Amino acid sequence: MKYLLLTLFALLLAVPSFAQGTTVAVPTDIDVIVIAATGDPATLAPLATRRTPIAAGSPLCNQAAIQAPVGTLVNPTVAQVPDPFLAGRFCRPPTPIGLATATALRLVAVYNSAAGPSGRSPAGVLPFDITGTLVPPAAPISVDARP
Amino acid sequence: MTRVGLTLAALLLSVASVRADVITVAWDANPPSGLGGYRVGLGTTSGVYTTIVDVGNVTTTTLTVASGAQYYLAVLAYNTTGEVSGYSAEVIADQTVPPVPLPSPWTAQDLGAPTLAGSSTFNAGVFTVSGAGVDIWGTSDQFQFVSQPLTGDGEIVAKVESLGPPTHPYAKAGVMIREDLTPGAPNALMYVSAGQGLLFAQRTTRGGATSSVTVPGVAPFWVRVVRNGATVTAFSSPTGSAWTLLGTATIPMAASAQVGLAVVSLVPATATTGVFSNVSVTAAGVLVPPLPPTSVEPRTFP
Repeated sequence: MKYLLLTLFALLLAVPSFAQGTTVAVPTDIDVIVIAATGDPATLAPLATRRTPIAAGSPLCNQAAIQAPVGTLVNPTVAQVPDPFLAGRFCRPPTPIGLATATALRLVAVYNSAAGPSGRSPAGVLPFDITGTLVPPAAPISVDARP
Repeated sequence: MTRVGLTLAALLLSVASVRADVITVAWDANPPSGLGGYRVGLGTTSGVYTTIVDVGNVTTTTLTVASGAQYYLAVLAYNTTGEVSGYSAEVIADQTVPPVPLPSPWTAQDLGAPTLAGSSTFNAGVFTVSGAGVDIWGTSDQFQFVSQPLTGDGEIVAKVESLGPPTHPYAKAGVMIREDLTPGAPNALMYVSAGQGLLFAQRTTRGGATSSVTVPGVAPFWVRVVRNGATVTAFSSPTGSAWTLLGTATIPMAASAQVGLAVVSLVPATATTGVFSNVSVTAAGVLVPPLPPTSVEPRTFP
């Protein structure tokens, strides 16, 4: 219990406050950024970035959390980011594609807005591997409309 | 007929003032025998007492006056039979208020170089703005402007208490948002005119023409201009609470603009004076980026 209270106190101290008279811009999209396994996640150069528009009520958002997989995560397809419009829910923007094979990669995320980008999130706790180049699926072919 | 004490009216008359609108006057008592009381004469011209107040049998009284003038006072005594003395020696109460510098960040300036310079003062929350100038109209303006910077969105509200003398039916006193202090700057002005009602005037482009819309109204009246991006909206109100929309204009301006009080006489050699109270400028909050996401975790789409 003592540690829980200390943790809550530390979290309160860590929340930045805005000066009176400022308005926090609404996020308009999320950048999901892949970074290397080691190094400062706040400054590491992106290995790949993918930007996805979001909005209140966006189908990508207001999602429940996906449980973390057991064991090593390979070839993730989405990032799970807190929904900025709905506390306790998540947005699931897709991860960058075209990554080379690698191990122990990490994600960071950034909200973008009319006032500019937020800072980077902390790096994801769960590292992941890329075992092959992720490419989007091919467009469907032989699509036909039938009465 | 007995004259009681009438030759001793106000042996010593003194005057004191701690407020510009209040005069306290005191005098020595007459001999009590037969004394009925005193009357205080008050006027703005020496020896001419346009206001006479019967204060009874006291030796001091407080008078409420309009500030900004010099007053002449004298006291006379009357007896119980109604006979009166002559006036005491006259005293002067200077109720003119020394100009107080405009509070920061307000500054006053003439725009467009009027022939007759304007001036502005501030006292007890009231702006008194005197301006001459040709007009705030057409493609270029000439007027007195009390302004402060406004960055981004925001609004200005004021109550135009009075406007006078009525140098011209379109003499103006109002609130303005203006891109800068050059004569042809884009601007929006919500004003009370001397004889043409309430008007919302706008110049939507630099050096462009000015147009306006009009509704009936005279001072005192509240005026308000709101800037939201390139959209400027003007309101008026008799009370300062229920606002009537006069119009909306699209006026692209730089984020950094000027907002303030504008007065123009339309008679280059004669100034008119607008008195403004309840002046407020409210800047919308500075937009800041959101906080970073608190976490991000890779997942495989279920």
